[in-house]
Amino acid sequence: MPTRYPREQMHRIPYTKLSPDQILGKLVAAANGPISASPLADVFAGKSLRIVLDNGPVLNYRFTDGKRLSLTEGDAAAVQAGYGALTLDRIALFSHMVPKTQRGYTVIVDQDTNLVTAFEVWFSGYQDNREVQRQVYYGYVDSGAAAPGTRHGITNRIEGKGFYWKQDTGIETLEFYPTVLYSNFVELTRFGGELSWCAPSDYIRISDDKYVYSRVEAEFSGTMTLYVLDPNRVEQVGMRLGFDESDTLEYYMFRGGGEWVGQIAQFEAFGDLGTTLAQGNRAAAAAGKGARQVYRPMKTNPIMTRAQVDAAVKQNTTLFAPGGGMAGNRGPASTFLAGKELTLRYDNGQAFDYQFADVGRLRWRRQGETAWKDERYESFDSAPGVIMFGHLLSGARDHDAFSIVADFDHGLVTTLHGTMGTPYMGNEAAVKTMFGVVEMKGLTPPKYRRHHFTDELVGRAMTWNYAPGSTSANGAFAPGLTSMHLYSTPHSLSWIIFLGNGAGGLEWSGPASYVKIRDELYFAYWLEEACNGTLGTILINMRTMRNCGIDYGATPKGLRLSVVGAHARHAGRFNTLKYFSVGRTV
Amino acid sequence: MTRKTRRSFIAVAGAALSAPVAAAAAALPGRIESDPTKARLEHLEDLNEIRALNHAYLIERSMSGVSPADFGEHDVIEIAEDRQTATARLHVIVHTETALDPDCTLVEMAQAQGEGVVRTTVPAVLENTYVRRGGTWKILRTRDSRALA
Repeated sequence: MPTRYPREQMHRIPYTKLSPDQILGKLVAAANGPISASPLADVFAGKSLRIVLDNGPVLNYRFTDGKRLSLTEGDAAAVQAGYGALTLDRIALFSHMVPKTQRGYTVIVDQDTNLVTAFEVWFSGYQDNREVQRQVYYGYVDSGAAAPGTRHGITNRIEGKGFYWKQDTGIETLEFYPTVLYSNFVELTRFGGELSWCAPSDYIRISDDKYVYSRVEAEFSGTMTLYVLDPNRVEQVGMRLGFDESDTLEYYMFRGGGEWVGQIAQFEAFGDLGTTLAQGNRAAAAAGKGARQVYRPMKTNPIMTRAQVDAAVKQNTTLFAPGGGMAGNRGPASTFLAGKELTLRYDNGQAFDYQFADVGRLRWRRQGETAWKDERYESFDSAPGVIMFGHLLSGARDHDAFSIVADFDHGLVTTLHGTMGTPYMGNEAAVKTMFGVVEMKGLTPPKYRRHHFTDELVGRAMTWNYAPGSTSANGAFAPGLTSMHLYSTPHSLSWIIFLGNGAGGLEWSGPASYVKIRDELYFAYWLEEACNGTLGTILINMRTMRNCGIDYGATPKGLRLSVVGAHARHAGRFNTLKYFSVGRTV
Repeated sequence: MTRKTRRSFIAVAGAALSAPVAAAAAALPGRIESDPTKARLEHLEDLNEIRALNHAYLIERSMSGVSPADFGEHDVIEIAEDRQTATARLHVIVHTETALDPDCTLVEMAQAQGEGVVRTTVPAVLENTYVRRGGTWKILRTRDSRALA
């Protein structure tokens, strides 16, 4: 079977803004319960359950058989609905919608302890009606005995894990849990496995070898995936609810198995089990049923037209402003290039002459042209003989910029050619990678050897600390701005923002690429597509554990090139390369 | 004359500031020598009232990042002889939180989850001037003298 690539990747699909009435109409079929490729369990058939939920309703269930139930919520009248149930050992998960409404429940019951986690789910609870909302309740099955003193609850005990899953539907995914708020998933079947995406997620501990995971594909289709997993045996049972790109209802139960692909580091203090979320003191208080932190990049990064970008650039172009938030750990500017003259000749036929007047000013011209253009530049020493530098190409139609890594020991150069504007957004960068050689007096470049794309970083996680920490008067230490990169696929990168206690927090992802400059030295870029449009370029030195780099972006405030400089720590690696082999088809 | 109190005897940087108040107090006409015990009692009452005022002020300001540097051991309070004005030098720690410019997603996301700020703590001296109106002390003005800290 050839791999099915979608016409548009997930972040590019213009999902229909469904109305509540449209959703109600599409949910009629859900009244019969979810479908399932695997046989459904009849574990509850003929039984009644009285489920008491903390701060929630009392749910009285009567299971007529393995497919029909009646539900009484509190004092409300009983309703009949179709349902589906699956079990994983002694954990039973059942799911149903409430007919003629846009809501339902998926309930997880531990038959040994009688403890319950219940997800109330509903549509039309957010301005994008198709986005599934959820409220998680914890409680127990009331057996008439004293209420148990413990509950299921949120956890960081599966933070950092990664799995390959294959559902009984044939759908294959890679799923990483690098934070306590978000997860990162690669759709190997549905989207061809090129990119990864991120989704707000729940992680709930049932026991040390049973957990509940859920995600909602917010900002995309709004679909919810919810399952119980056993990390030892790598088994899952769950349900999926939402509307796909053709607005077709997906409501099904699934059973799956897979492979454990690894565990990356956690950065909470020892003993912190993640039973609370460490939001900072400036976080907006979550309000309303089901509220949680959701990163919505398009809310804060308005789409600009090309004309708007041109006007903003004309008004303000900021080149390497000092004191940028991402440059607190930058190294000193390199003096290597000052006074040098050279030509960068690329394999695509382009060549550029350079004269470096001093540290900060250069002249360039496209070979064959006579006029030189003066530019401000920044440069960094990364490894002996390896210089990264970057500059704008003033006057270029697409506000072009170069981020360049030149290896003067080997006469090789790789340039990331950034341009502003894509068919989707005027303020979204695009990039092309150019390989070539350095020509200068006393340096003979190779004829055939080049830098090359690499997958050596794939699966790795690295933390990046962009600014020194500080110690307050009372001795409390506060780390400077820090993130973690997860090089999630050969063509995408995710960035994770830490919460105050070191747990992973919000996360987002974008297309990326990796070039090997030398052993342990990689030139990476990522594009913040359908986000703030920035092109991030960094040279990662895994011997000195630091990076240098240049960000390129446009906003209503203008165009900017800014310096990046950070210290690194290894945070582990997922063993995922085999899933991205083109020899492997799904 | 002013009456000055502090809980430890270190350099008195506040003396020059309070001199005009002291001079004004000394120049009052028709002054009658007061009972030393009564004067001492009044002085202690004034000190307590001003300390309570300072305490309340710092509690209020602590919401925006000012806290006592210690337990007031190095604070200097000077009360004019006529008990109508006073000055104080309060040693404090100023906590600042400066939000980073959210021009990148990292900062934007950090701020969404309550972080994304640069926090600093700077020792400072608050120079307060007080007036007594209707028998009650009030803070007339406050000057943050970080350079003097």
